[in-house]
Amino acid sequence: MRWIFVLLPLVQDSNPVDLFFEAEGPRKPSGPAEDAVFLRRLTLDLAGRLPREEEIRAFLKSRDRAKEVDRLLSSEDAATYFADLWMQWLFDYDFEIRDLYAVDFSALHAWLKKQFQEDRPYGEFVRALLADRGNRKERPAVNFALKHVRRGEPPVKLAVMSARLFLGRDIRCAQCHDDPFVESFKQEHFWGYLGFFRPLAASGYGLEERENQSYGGMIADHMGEKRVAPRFLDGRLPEKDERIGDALARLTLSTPEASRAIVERMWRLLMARPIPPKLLAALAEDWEKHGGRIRHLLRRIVRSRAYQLSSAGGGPAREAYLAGPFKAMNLVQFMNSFSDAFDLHRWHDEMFRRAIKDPKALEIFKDREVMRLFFHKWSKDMVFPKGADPEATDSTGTVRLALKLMNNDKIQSMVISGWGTLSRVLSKKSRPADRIELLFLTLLGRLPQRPELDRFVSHVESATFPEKGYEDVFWVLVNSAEFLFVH
Amino acid sequence: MSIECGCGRRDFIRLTIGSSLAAFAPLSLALQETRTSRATRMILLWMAGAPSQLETLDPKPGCGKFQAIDTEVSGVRISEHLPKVARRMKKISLVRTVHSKDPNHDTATYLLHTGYRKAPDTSHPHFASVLANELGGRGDLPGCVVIGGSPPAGSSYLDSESGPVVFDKLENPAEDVKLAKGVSRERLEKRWKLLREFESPFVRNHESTALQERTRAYERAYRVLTSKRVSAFDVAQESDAVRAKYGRTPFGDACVIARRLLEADVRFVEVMLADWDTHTDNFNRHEKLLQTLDPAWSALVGELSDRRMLDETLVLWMGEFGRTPTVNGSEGRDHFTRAWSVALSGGGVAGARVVGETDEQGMAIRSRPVSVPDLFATVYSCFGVDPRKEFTTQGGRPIKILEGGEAVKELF
Repeated sequence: MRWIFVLLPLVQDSNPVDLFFEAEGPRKPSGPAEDAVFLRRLTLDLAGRLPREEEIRAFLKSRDRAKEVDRLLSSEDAATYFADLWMQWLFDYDFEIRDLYAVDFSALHAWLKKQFQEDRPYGEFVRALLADRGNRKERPAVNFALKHVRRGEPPVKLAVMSARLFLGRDIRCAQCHDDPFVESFKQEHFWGYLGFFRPLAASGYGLEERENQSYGGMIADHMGEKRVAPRFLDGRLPEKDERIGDALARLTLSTPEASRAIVERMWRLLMARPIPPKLLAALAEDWEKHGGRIRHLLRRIVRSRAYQLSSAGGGPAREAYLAGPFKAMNLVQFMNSFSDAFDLHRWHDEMFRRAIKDPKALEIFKDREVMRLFFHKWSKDMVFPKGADPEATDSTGTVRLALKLMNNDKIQSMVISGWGTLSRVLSKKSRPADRIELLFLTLLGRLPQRPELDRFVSHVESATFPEKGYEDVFWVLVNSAEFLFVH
Repeated sequence: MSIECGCGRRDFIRLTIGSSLAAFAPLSLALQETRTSRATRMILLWMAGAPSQLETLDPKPGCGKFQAIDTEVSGVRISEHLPKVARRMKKISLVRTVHSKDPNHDTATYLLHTGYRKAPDTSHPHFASVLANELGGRGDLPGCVVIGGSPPAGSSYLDSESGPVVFDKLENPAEDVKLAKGVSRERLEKRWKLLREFESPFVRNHESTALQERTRAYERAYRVLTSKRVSAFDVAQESDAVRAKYGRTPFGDACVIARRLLEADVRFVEVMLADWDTHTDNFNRHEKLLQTLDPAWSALVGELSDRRMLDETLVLWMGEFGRTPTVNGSEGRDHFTRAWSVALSGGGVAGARVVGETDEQGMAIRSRPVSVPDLFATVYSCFGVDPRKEFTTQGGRPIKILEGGEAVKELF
């Protein structure tokens, strides 16, 4: 078992993930992912972007996986990536123009980033999102509620999102009827839970509590609104004189579901498979014991043997965790990789610079985070098939994305030897084989194998104009399945 | 300022209860099956944001600012801002009593594209995917094309080949299918061969549905790009006179493209016209939108009829719900689900019919309520698709194409 030897330095601290799979009995997993493949996977998973040439070369020398995990986790890119993801999660992957007025995106993003950078305990993070009140710049966590509360409407969406994110529960059915699958979950539970959010209202530039808010009008009627006093999903009630937000945070964080929800979310993010229930319990317990910090959880998962396996193989083997994770890039990973490959950062900067200078542009569009949200929305439409719930789908690669990447005029105008990545590669190296090698490293995070190298070199050499040949190679690599998948 | 329709809240409740009782009244008027033609293709004109029935197909004197005008069908009156549509009314039938219980844009848009309420655990296919799946594809171009926005549903548990291919911009949807500058067809073919060769080991080594989907999407895209029929997306190949008839707006041009796509054997085209969510400034905004809609819709029906395509082409005009008969303080109308209008032409639907009647203020249904499943049963029946056919979801649950609903026989 060669791979155990390779991975041994990583598993000295009894990782509950490894312990779980060991206890499953004898298993024949695929071999470990090769170093370059592992680094690409890890960099995409922890920093949301492709590894850079220097990083790959350094890692191929050091081969120190544990050090690489820590280096990436403490990088600014990791904080930005997880802040980007939380923005998508908190906003349910969408926003409307009205949200641009209601929410301070920059303040929230900066706050989310700081939580990750300082590795604040997850409990504090949840408490802020559920219980903070006040000005949206001073208490940036209130922007979560501000996104979902609307004047004159019961805060159903906010309750649904809070239960989904912080308890891992889908409570939507019970808005209209008793849950047919969970006997203990009745319609009154939904409305009791909603009671915690009912007093919330946007006021000026912040979030406040108002007593006895009523929601008249047709929308409330349609939803069969029930006015029930705050009562947690498991029946517990707020203490006397307890602030309602504090009560909600306390009740949420004192359920076992709270830890499990975040453990499961991160597991799915990295492993792209359901987590076995026993492992979930063990990992959640380990996580709580170690202070409930996100980085510990991420470290546990990516340092496990299951994460480090090669992804090659069949679906059933992967389902059984006999192969490593294989998944399409999520929308943030795709946007970052796509921007890196096509050197769009320059273009983004230019767009933002123009927006700031434009006297006619609305103030709300002069927010860098707002612009990034628009990019991520575009990315979502490219990566996910129509109607697919990004939380639930594992399919990707729409015809629309294929048409854009293969043929869109604006994108093709960047697949030229005089632009971006390709122009840098061509000016840095002169031998065809070196150029192809650098293109592979930059776009796919690995060196070409011999036959691949030969094939592409001969393609370039047989082209009437060599630079056209390199353009073709660049086109092939960015359109390849290998580019689009985290493997 | 607010304009009242003289309809108090108590009346409102009474009328609503009355109308839901009416739904149980026996509909013994079922007509004999007398259809002479079947639909084989379809255009959906999707009015995103929910247009006001009062400012379009079910005008109520005194409940707004627009006048009603006569149409070429005596006794049928529609908004004064749809004069060209009024002159096509012999080819168009109206249903004025569609109703639902969903006043939220996203979930109602889902309902009106799938026939199902959005459920947390199941996704349902776009009804066009059902049609494409049941009737089969016909050529290089995709079975379903959506122009001008994002539909709320895809192929779901059906074959992904039947999923809608989306061209999000109304303006110049051909942008992505016209060969890029500097890339000849030969060069694209060469690149494609090189791509296939390069990635085949990776694809072989990873068994994954997501990867299969991606690869099929690429194959489909390549087939579209290299198809002779891709020129159907090029509106510039139409004469100025034709484009002028449709209004020469992005929406009008997209309707021309929709017709061209059907001629190139695409089964289903959805063209979206957005911005109907008029909570403020309802009347001015509707007037402007109707100026875009009127020529495009009427020219589309007219041309399909002139080219003898209408008999087998169903044209459906609808949004996700209607708008309140009462006008709010911002001169707007809010969401209204108790009675709104849709319009159908061709595909075996008789023209000049009006199904259902709302009361004087448009607050309630007076006769012949039509549920959303009824509407979908009607569409499926135009194509001879059995809505009771069962599929299995990805989660392994049996699911019918449609749950409940009876085709509106008065339309045939």
